[in-house]
Amino acid sequence: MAIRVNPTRMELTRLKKRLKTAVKGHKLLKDKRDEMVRQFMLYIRRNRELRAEVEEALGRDMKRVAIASARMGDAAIGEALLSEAGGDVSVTVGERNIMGVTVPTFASQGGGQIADLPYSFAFTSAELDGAVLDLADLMPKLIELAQVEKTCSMLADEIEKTRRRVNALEHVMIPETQKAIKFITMKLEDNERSNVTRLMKVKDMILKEQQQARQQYTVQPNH
Amino acid sequence: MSQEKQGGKMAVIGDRESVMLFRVLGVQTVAAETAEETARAIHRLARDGCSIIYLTEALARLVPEELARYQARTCPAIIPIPGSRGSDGFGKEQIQSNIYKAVGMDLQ
Repeated sequence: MAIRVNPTRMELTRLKKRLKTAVKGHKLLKDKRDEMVRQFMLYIRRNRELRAEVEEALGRDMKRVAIASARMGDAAIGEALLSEAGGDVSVTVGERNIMGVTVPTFASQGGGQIADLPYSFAFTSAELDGAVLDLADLMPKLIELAQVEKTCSMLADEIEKTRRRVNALEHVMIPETQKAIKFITMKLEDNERSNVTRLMKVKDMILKEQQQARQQYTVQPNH
Repeated sequence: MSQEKQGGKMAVIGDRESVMLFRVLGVQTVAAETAEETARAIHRLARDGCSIIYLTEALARLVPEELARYQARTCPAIIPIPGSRGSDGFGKEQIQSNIYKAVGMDLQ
């Protein structure tokens, strides 16, 4: 488990610097994650509402078409709906930046109104008209749903990534760096201690030598 | 920060009955039945610069790789919608999986 590091002062400074960066990065990423989750919660609420609404309305429309096709026959309805483009639906596409995630913005253009139905009324049933007009009304909602849902899924992706990074920093990078720093400090202290003992020993030896020399010096003149 | 582009295109991919209603409104429609047709339609529309692709839920279930591939990109947005047989809950599942991904647990 222990990481192999050189127990040198240079390595120690390097590791300390790295730990400082990691801690700072961890804090920043955590803040980023929290803010993104907050934003995400706002969007996901809207997403749920819109989806429920759109699914209900679309389901109703589809049912109406089914009724209409039962009344008119499959071929007739196909023909009626083949007459193309009563309205012109296109969207204005923009980009927005939410916490560093580029998400698209869609705005419906022309509001999805339909001037008049493009098929002849002679052979079509009223259900079909209702379905088409309802769908035209639903278009802005559909477009908003697209924007919100895309935003949500991109945010979710980014949040997941950020959370991984936060966890990696918190549980791997920072503890390991701390361990390495501790290892180096202990090793250095140990070296220091052995150095001190060595010095003491040398001092003792020198003192002893000096004492012996002095004794010899003081003893000799007596002879 | 945001630049706007006019006239982004929309398209709907689905089985014939689900899709024909959109055609009256001037939305580009592509009829598809199988996974392969759907995948091809998605790629073609994406290359054409389509901004929003609506996809019926039944078909969306068939092409998870394609959905995952375009999820990371800003455009196109691929949005599941209920088809002519009504909703089968795919859209709601996706919302739920997004929540799970973001929060790390299921919220109701």
